[in-house]
Amino acid sequence: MSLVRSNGIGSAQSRRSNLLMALPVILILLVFSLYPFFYTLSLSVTESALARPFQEFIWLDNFRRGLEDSLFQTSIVNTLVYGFTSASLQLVLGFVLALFFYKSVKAGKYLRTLALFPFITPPVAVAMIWRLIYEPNSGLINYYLGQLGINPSQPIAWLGDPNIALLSLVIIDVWQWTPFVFLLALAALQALPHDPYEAAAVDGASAWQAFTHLTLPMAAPALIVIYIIRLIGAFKIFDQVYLLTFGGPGSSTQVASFYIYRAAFQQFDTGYASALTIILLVVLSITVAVLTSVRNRVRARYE
Amino acid sequence: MAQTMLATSSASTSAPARRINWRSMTFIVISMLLLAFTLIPILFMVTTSLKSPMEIRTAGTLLPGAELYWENWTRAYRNVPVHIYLLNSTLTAIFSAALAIVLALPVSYVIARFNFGGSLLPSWILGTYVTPPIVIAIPVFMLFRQIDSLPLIKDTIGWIDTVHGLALVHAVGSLPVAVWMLESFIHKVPHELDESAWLDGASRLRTVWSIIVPVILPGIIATFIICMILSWNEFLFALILTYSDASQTFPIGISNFIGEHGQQFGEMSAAALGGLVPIFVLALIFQRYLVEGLSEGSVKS
Amino acid sequence: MKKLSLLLVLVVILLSLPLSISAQDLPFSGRVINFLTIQPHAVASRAAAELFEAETGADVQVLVVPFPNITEKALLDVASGAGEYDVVEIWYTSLGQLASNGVLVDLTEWWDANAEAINAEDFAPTIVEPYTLWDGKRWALPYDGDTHVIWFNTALLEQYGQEIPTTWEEYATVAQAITEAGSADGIYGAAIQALPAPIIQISSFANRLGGFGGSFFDAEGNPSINTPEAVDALQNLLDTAPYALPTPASVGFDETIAAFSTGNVAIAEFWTDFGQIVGGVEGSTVGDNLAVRPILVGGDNETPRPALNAGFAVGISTLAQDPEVAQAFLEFLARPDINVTLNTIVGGLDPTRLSTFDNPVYIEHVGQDVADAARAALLGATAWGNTPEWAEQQEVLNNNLSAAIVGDLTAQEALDATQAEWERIHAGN
Repeated sequence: MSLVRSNGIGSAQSRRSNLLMALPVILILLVFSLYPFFYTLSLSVTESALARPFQEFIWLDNFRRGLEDSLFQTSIVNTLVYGFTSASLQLVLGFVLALFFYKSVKAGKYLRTLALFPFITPPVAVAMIWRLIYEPNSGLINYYLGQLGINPSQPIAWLGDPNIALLSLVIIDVWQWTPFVFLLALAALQALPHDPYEAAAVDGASAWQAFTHLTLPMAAPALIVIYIIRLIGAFKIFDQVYLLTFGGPGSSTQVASFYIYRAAFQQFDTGYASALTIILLVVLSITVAVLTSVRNRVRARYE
Repeated sequence: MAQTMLATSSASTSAPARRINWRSMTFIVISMLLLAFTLIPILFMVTTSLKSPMEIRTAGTLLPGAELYWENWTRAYRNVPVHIYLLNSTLTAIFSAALAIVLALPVSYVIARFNFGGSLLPSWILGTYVTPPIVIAIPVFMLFRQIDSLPLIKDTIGWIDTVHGLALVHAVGSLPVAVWMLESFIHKVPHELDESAWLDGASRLRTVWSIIVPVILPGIIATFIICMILSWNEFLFALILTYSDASQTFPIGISNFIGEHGQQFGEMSAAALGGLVPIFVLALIFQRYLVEGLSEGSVKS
Repeated sequence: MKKLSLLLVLVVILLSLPLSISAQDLPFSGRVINFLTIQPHAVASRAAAELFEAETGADVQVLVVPFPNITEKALLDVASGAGEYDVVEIWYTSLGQLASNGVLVDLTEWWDANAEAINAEDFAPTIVEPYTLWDGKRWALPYDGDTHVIWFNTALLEQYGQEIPTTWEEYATVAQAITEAGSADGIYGAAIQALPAPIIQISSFANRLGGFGGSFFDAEGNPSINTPEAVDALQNLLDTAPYALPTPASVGFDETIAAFSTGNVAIAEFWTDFGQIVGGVEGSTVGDNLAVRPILVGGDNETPRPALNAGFAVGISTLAQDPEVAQAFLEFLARPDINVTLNTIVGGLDPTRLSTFDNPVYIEHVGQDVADAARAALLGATAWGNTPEWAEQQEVLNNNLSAAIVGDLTAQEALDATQAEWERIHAGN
């Protein structure tokens, strides 16, 4: 270790070569992250249209309007509800599945292959097929419910009932991404060390004890990372709303990305859309920051 | 699989046999249900591509009628140049994944080994993942436009409506995921391996190339495939940055089956399946790396 | 040897003759323009491009985008200085948006100078202004004259002992009667399209708005969306919704086409090509039992005033690379014979010219009843807005309609809220 330090960790030369290694990414981020961010920030404090940005400086008017916009508030709430429900279901299902399969190598191998299907299917195709599944009158679900003798007086409108439309979208996301969570959870479980289990077996621990005292704590940091990945992914929900519900019925599936898209590309009010974007970014960053700190605490405790 | 479980456990004692049996039954039932949940929509897409428009609209049966309706397939590939979209998608996915890896590898190394950039650089990189794509779509479009209108570039390599332009943007989109994955793989490589290389006076880049890359190769392949999948399915940038057959990708191409007055479900299913096959075959070929890479960065080798 | 070379020369001359002739006769050989069109019009636009190329030699590249993205593409193209498009297709409701943002060339002079060729009197009078005129200037040429008509499955009406309704009130009664008797068998009286995309949901409302004698704006162009007529129109929609194909909020074009072509729905409001669409679904027998009527009337109103739902024009981009060819292409599209040709392609356009309705080729193509209904529809139609403010107004109306459909707002509340917002938007500009 001392040799390494003398070779240059912390030295000016080392810092320079580290910077060189990171430089391409830093440049890319300057262009594709910082520039768009400041572009959006400048748009948000101006009267701007898609074709004519930066017409007039109007301070925080767009933000005030955004905070008073009840439909935007609804969309934020829906985004959070959708994200947490969806990511939580995926984590629980994916992890339970992985627990089932991580020891049976053969079954796991087939499942891993099949698990690839849902998340490599393009969103447009996913929307199309779920539309045919959910269709109230001739869809797959209601058809087989009918075959089973379940015939409600009104067919269940999976996407047309304001009380269940958001849940129906959650189910699509769960279908598409649980296999992905399963793969990652499987990987996390297979990476766990064997020694603690052998020691626990010697001590006569039950399977349940081994699970709660060993598996869960050891896998927790990885699980939280998986959870955050999926949560962020789910927060970005756009395609399925755009392709299936258009935010309806009522405002039951109105989500932030879609609402912002409408402001920018249907109303062409890019100034307002930018202010909404900044508000959304703040909400999401706080949410993710809280989760990341939880993860770091868990990691610190168990590593 | 249930048989192997049964065989190994019943060999030990006979008393818990009933319990084991019950457990493997649950095991089978639950896995069957989940398998069904995962596969039925895919199977439904396959059968929809073989149903006549009338069958699709009458009843949501999982299986097609007695007469398979192959017209969907011939029409889909005749009416829309699916092969062009597939080619564009493939090129974009490969370029963007390769670029993402090339960019991410060095920076992941200095983050993993030297904690370079403290917490600022990693959180900046991750922050780009949190940002909804809609945010950067417009500024990036404007930027590409301005570059394209420069005198020298105008008539040579443009960025709008080109495969390499879209690939660059997709690479940036995949960057946080690539850094996240590669950093954790590098993290698991024993320090001793690359420390010895520094002692021999190798440069950082050289160390990464000759020591780290061979060790985490399965991890790199896994990352590559994940990046490819991200690019393969990306919709919004492709919609804004492309407008002709020169660069339109598969997700945009199959949305061409959505008309003003309705969709051709059967043809769209056929086209979508055509797009699923290549990436699925690829993932199948590399699935060992994909899973191994995901699991432990293959430090054991 | 000499003979042979002479022969060769002769052959070369003969071979190059057709080339030189075509080069002489075709004024725009070797010139290229880009035509931005919406995906549903891809077939018609490509056909137009080929016809134009055969006549003039100009190469028209047809660039296709999904319908919802056309305006943003045109706006971004000019805002970024790209100039990728020469001729752009325009949903008429975004005419003011595009013109005010400098996307479109002012065609007023061209329009006046070519009055004879354009023959504006021949365009259906209700579409000329909304499609082409904003701020007192001409910006575009009518291209696709869309309007809704009402389609009936006469076999279903007969089966349930109902007559073809003539008013929106009767429509509601018929829909209710059929649904109450038939919903257990999956038969519904009507399909009401209220998926909250403006083009879908506002169309359903606009049909009734015009039918009840209301309009989006009064004669001075001020918002008039909460008049008693408008409230009655929305109330009629809300009253019928429970008896429509479940559930209106998730019913769009596909759902309507599907349910109608399988014989599960008796009435649908749709464009004039609906008969061809549902009749063209293989195995569907609905095509034999179709009836079509102009949009109905309601309340005290007795004059049918259908709504201009969808509808497209073509204009020239301010950044057009070759404005001369672009202009010639517009002149070409304005020709009545081209109008008929493009109106008789399956997957083509609907007539913009009155003369087309009398054209035997067109009547043969769509049938006399459709031609009559479409003509009647275009003659007294209610237009949506086409000002730069419309984009925002449309969004407000759409959101309030969504809220009313699921019962969060009453008809009066929804339209009062819309009116208040519209006035604010109107005053702000």
